[in-house]
Amino acid sequence: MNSKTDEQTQIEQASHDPQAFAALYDRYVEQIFLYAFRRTGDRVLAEDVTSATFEKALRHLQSHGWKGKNYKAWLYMIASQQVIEHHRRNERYIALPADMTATIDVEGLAQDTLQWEQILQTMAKLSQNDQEIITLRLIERLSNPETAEFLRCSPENVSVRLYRALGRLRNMLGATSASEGEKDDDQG
Amino acid sequence: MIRDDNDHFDADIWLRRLESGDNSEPLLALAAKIKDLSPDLSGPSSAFQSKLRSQLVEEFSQQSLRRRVIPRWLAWGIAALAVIALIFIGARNLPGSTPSVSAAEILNLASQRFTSSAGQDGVLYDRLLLDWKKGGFRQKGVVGELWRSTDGSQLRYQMHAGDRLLYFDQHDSDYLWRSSHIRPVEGNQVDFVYQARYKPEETLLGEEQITSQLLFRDLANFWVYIDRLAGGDNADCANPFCILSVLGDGWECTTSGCTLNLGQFPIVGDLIIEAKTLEEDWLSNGHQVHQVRLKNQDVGDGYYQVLKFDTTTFDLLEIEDYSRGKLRYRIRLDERQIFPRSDLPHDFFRTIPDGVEVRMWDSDAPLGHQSEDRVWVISADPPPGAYLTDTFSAHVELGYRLTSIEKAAINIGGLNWSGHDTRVKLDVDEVIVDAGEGVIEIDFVVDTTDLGDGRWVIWPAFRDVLGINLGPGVGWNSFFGNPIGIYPEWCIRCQDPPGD
Repeated sequence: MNSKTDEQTQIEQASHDPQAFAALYDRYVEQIFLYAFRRTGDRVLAEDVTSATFEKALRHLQSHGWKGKNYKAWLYMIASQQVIEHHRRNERYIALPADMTATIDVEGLAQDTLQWEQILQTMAKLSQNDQEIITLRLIERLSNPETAEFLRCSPENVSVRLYRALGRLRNMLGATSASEGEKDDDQG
Repeated sequence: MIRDDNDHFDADIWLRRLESGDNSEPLLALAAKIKDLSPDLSGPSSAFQSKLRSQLVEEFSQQSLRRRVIPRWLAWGIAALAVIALIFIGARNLPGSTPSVSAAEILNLASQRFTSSAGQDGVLYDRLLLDWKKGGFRQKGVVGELWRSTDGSQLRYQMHAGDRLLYFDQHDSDYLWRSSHIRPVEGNQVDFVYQARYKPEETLLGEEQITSQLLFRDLANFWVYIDRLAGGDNADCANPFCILSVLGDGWECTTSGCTLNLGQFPIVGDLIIEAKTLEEDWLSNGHQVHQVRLKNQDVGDGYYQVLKFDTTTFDLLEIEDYSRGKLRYRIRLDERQIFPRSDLPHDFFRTIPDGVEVRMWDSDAPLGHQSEDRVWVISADPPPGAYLTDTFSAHVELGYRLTSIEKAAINIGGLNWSGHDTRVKLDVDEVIVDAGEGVIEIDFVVDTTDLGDGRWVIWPAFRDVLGINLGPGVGWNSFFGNPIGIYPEWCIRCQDPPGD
């Protein structure tokens, strides 16, 4: 027999108990904020997205009750909708905050050393779905089941999609590296 | 386990390697590096966290006071009809419109008119004129006819263009007969209908259908949905106006118009409808109308519906649906009658039109409108909006969910020329899939030599063993239940690239 997890119990309580909802908020607010920050590159916007996400979560819990879905994945889904809406209004998809730069060494690519910024810039050229799955799975560290809940697909499909998205990213990184190499050659 | 024969990829094994930190091949190495190097960012400020927390707790308390206990599907139906009510009321009371009659009087008059002379054994008859343009196909001069017993137990709704029957949907309390397509498909003649056991009305009125019909520009069957909702025994109401009165104070109005928050839904988030009274107008049949524009607050200005109400009879006369500012659907009430049941043959609601074959639907799975079959485009290469010429190779990734039958084929029937009555067939191999959900990929080649300049969209669909299209196209699917769908529209030597 399946017993309810502590979180499921807490979520059910949160539909009628403000303190239970506040506890859920405390648990996830930082993760949602960071997700929004990574997607928008702007702390103020990330705060807006975070506020909207929890306000919607609250309204939904109260008006429709909890239906046993993965709460964390669901919060990410709401946050994603807010980000997409923001980008739709501003006609761009991803921005790069200044403090998100680091160095990366990618094996098997044309160049050994790439900037984290370059990875992000290349990711921005991927489809929205590819960006989403890489972000959720590798940066936000959602599990396969959580990501599956977000994407409304099976956990196995998450692996397939992630694999393909990484393949496309790798190809693009290779192409970017190659084209920069050509530029260097031209200049040289 | 999913195995990709092209890539020799085993999802289970790869996931285990990913989780264990294995970086022995390039993609795992790339994944590991992304994980390792994604910088740790500082979280939200404590002031922000604390302020938001307080706001939420306060909002929690306020909302608790406003909560209502209404089944969600009913709330949706009510909301859909409330849109009409607001227009009805708002059209007469908002600034710039003809004032005077109170809302209560209007509702009362309309209710009396709706039920008068029908009694418990009456039939409502609506004759509708429809035209639409969808997926590059324009259909004009369609007549829709709706017969519904006033107790809601019997219904027939059919659409025809000249001699061609385009859609058929009928039930009594025992059986349901329905076209294989959930809506008219281009100008195709209905050759057969399925016969299934009739299921209770509430299962036919999924909230998503109502909402989709109203908000997501698939209005061909909107009328019958609204009528079904009104005609059922929902909330002890016998007509739409009764149901409308249940809504209460959901609308928030200012001098510039009104909004109604319908709550949250997948992908689209909160649905907030704006209603605004436009200028009065006259239809070609001489009816004077109020026009009211409805728009989801979160979508672009080019996407909206205009509802037109008769200023004298209080009937909803016409619905227009606009996409990118262009008219896509129009439904016009041409005639309405209410007459005794005895005026129709006793077997009227069990009669199938001449020449239409009846096939048994032996499955317990939902039929037609209730089907959960979906196929949608996850990604396309070239990507949507790409400017293309000559011959190009395309690769699309399709997601699917098949529930109504054990096996079906997914194919890409062709390319639709947006804004034109043109569809070009593509030579694309079908992919057979079993019931369940998954992702497939299809490659094909497009030669643009004979294609007109403009925007072209691919259209994936399920087909059963008879080649019958099982489900709706991507335009519908991308909104509900499939949050990752895209609209795969390419720009072939076009002047106005998609997305402008």
